Amino acid sequence: MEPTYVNGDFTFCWKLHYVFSEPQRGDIILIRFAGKRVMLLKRIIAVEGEIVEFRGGRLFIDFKKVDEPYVVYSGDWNLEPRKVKGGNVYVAGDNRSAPIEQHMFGQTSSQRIVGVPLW
Amino acid sequence: MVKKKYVVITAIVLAVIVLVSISGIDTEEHKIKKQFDKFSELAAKKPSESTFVMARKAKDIAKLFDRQCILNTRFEEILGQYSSQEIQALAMRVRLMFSALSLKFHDIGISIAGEHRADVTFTAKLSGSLKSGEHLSEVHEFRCVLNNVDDSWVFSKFELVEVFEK
Repeated sequence: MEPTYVNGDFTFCWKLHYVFSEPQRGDIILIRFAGKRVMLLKRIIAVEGEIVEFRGGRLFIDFKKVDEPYVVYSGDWNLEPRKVKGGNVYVAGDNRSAPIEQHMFGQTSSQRIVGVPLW
Repeated sequence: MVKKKYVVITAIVLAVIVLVSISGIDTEEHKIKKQFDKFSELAAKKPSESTFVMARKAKDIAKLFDRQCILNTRFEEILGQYSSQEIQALAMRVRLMFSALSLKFHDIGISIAGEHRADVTFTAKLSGSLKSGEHLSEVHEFRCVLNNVDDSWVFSKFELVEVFEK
């Protein structure tokens, strides 16, 4: 998630954020990756029903280019269009400099969202 | 007054005895957790491990598995149906790759599905040093199935939980 969040830093999780609201595109969330304790910090880049695509490192949602000012370390990602399934969100980190194969991103169940970082 | 004191002490002692005996009962969940502890203990490898110990541990690891076990991980080398002998060979191969190895299990959630089957989710943390010098540290969530064979729980399926679908 660099440079938005620095590796090795810490934050607190606000678990009640989505009690009265739905996850939105652009939100930074904590995702339960394994068990109860291993979390990942990711940004929602698309919500259910939207079509995600990367062309030369640029993000396209529903075939329209999306401006991502938070991406400072961009890459050359290419990903064919795909629809986000019901009950899922599509997430990626802000640091896109790593090759697409090595980056942990994609659509995941909204039930894995634990909350949002407090700061 | 003194009598009351002794009554209270006796009651506390009895309560402790009851609690200890209840917690000491080997429930099926306890037996399953013990299998994970055993697996973790056997999987651990120190740099000084001899070939004899390595072979014995690989053999003991295979005993924790059913006669046929399905392994579904993201690694092509660990994918498909394995017999006990193949598990033993696989355990040996993996140990030979590492100079030091640690495998820990966390957040073990057990659901007993009938008399002979248990569905388990857990987090596995593997860390160690490859013989090439590279350090490895991986954490993943798994689902697994254990079968109760001859009053002993044995692993019969491991499946990696894929959190992201690209």
